[in-house]
Order: sequence, then structure tokens, then C-alpha cells
Amino acid sequence: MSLARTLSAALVVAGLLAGTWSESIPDPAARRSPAGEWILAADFHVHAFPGDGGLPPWALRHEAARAGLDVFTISNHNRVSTARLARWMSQQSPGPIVIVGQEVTARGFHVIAAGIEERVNWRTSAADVIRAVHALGGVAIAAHPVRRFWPAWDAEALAIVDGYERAHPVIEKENTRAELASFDARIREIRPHVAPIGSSDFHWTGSIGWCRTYVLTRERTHAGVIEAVRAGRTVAADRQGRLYGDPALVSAVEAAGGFIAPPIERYRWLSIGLVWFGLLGMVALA
Amino acid sequence: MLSSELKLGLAPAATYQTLVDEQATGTWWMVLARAAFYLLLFGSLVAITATRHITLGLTFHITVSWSFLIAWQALVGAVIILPAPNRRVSLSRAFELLFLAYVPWSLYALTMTALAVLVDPNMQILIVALTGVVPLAWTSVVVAGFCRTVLGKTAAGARRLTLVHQFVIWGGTLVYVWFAVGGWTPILQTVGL
Repeated sequence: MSLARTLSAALVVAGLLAGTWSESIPDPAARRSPAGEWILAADFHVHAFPGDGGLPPWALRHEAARAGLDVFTISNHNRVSTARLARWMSQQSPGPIVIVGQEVTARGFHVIAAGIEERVNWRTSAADVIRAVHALGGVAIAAHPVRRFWPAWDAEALAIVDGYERAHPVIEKENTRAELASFDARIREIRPHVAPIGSSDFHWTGSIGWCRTYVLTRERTHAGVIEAVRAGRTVAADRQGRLYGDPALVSAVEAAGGFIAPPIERYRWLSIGLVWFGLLGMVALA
Repeated sequence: MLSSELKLGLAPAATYQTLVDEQATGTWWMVLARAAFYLLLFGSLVAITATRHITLGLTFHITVSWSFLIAWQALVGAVIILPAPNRRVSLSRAFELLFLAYVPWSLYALTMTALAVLVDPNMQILIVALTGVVPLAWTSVVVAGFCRTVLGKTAAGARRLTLVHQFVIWGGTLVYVWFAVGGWTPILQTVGL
């Protein structure tokens, strides 16, 4: 191997070692609200491999822990097999709770079905999808309810949906931020205690837990999380740490420390830069 | 100073001719090393794009999960290499030279990773799909050079074989996408249909 390629390979190895050495996993937060409920950090909208996500379930769970999440839902488009595999794997070791889910992907609307065991039929109306999710014991969350999805969200669907994505990465853009706020106003007129949800909609870019939900649960279990969403005891958070939801619940989360950002590793950019330039060198140099 | 891959990207036919004239025998270890490098490249870049950090464990898990991609590339490569009677290099060397043809995708993946990390971490899938036309077309040109120079095809035969190669590659990819997104509905929505 030439000197240029050897040096490039050395950069890749150095970057991988620097990244591994500087990785930090925060201790699981044991936060309680003034009323004594657990405050769990959750992401209800995560895609995984095999499916349209880039990371396999076992790596996702590690990344969820690194992002400071206590709970996450694997919600691939119209499939639950990967989520079920992930849940089974999660039962073999300690770490974040994995909830089986599906992003019910229909023409005109998407619904996150969390806490289900079987696939939900997507070839029907939003209201019928929500009823099917409830019949399976899960909760239904309106996914990224921006303007183009509004026609499907009629009064019937809004009256029975359990939650809606108040914070989603689209909140970073001005027009879609306004659309999420409009949907928030509209749904609260019909269903005042609907659960505001923060989700990353993580596929290949961004980060798991980019936006997140603080769930105020009576027990630190899968069932406790689903019950809390159904009861509307959630606060959504965006990447900047802004909190959305019932003012009393927002105050409870703030009293317990508020939004906690994922840790940023000391040598993150150094390790990424070393690996990237090393790979470029291995592709481009003789 | 420039690698064979990059030279291939710039001048496929001439570079393939040089590589054939070298009369290197090639070994299956070389093929495996080349495949392993592409897997490392893919695993590392997905780790960076998806998590904005990189570790040995994360890269390993992604690399292993997606290793079927390289197996698929090799399988499709066999479809065009094995039946070629006028092949000018050994079988293992032919596979090695075909793997080199993917340099446009390597450069594209490096570019998109840099953009995702530095410019827009929430890059629209439609932008990725549209810009992907560039490496797709570029790779087709390089594969055509491979078919003409390494497999000894005529110009028309090389074009036909390239078409078959790309058709099978992308047919398989579409099947995976169909599985991954749960049917065609999300795809049609993405393109506004």
C-alpha cells in the first residue's frame, strides 16, 4: 500500500478510536414531577433497518440511550416486524424501553400507532385507523400534521386521536412551524387534553431524540407510557428545548430540570473529520 | 497520485485498458478487501449522517447490517461477468475491476454526508433521489467501459450489458425500497402523485 493510502487508513482508524474513546452515555434520568410521576424522555417516531431506517434495532437502542431517551417507538411504514424484533432484543438487556409501533402510511395522512402487536390496515380513513389502533391496545398519534395532511384530519378523527406531533424536525422551518401551531389550535378546540408529542421521525439523518416527548407516567413501564399518552400527560420538546403542552405539565417538567439536551462528545468533530478525510483519501489517492 | 478508481471515473475506457494491460492476476482476497472497504465506507458514512458521531461499535453494526448490499452487487456482477467469453482478465480480477466502477457512488456518499453534517441535517429525500441521477449516470458510463474493455464486448454489446446490469441492480433496489416504505404509497406521495 502506498504512503498516501496508508496515511488515509491511519486517519480512519484514528477517527474511529477517538470517537469510541470520547463516547459518553448519560445515566438514565430518574426524574419525578412534583406529583410524584416519573418523567421519561421518549421518541415515538423512529424508523429502523430492516425498513426505511439506516440503523439496526440493536444500534438504535444504544443511540437512544446516548441521546438520553428512556423510551422509543420503532414505527416503520406499514410494518411491525422490525419493531417486534427490536422489542424482543430489548428484553434481553437493560436500556431504554422499546415500544412496537407502525407509521400507518395512507394517502393523505400518517398516523403513529404505538403499543400495538399487529399491523394496522392503512387503506381506510384516519378515524378508522385510529379505532383499529385502539382495538389493538395502542395509542394513535397524528404524524407531522402539516397543511398537506389537513384534509384527512376531519372532526371525527380529531375527536378520537390520542396525540399529535407538536414538535417534529419540520418545526425548524418557518412555514411548517406555523402549520403545526395552527393544527395545535384546531385540535385543542375539539380535544383540549390531547397529548402533545415531540418526535424525531428519524430515518437516516438528524438524530434520534432530535425532538422528544416528556411522558409523565405512574410506572416506569411500557404500559405506563401508553396509559400516560392516552391520558394526555405529555409535554413535547423541540431541539432548542422549547416545551409545548398543558402549562401545568410544562411547569412540572421545568421544576424537574426541564429539557435536557443530549451530551455532545468532546472529540465529535475531530473524529468525524478524521474518518471523512481518511475515507476520501482512500478513494481518491493511489 | 490519483487512485485507479478516480482515474476510472475520469477516463473509464483508457484506465480500464491500462489496468487490463498490467496483466495483474488478482486474487479473491483482493476482491474481499475491496468489498470490505466499500462496506466500511458505507457503514462509516451512515454512522456520521445518522448520529453525527462515529464509534467502532456503531460502524461495525451498520456495516454488518448492510453487508447484503455488497453481496447483491457481487451477484449482479456475476450475471454479467460469468457469461462473457472474451473476458481479458482472471475471474477474480474482473470482479475487482467491476467494484472499482462504483467510484461515483463513493464520491456521492462522501459529498452527501458532508452536506448532511455541515449544511442541512434534515435533507429532503427528494433532493437525495434527484441528485442521485448524477452518480447513476456516471456509474453507467464506467460500467460500460468495463464491459467494453474488460469483458471484450462490442460498443453496442457493452451498452446492452450495462443496461442489464443497471436494470437488475435498480430492480433489486426498488424491491427493497418497496419493502422498506411499506408499499408504493409513500413513494408516490414523495414525488407528489
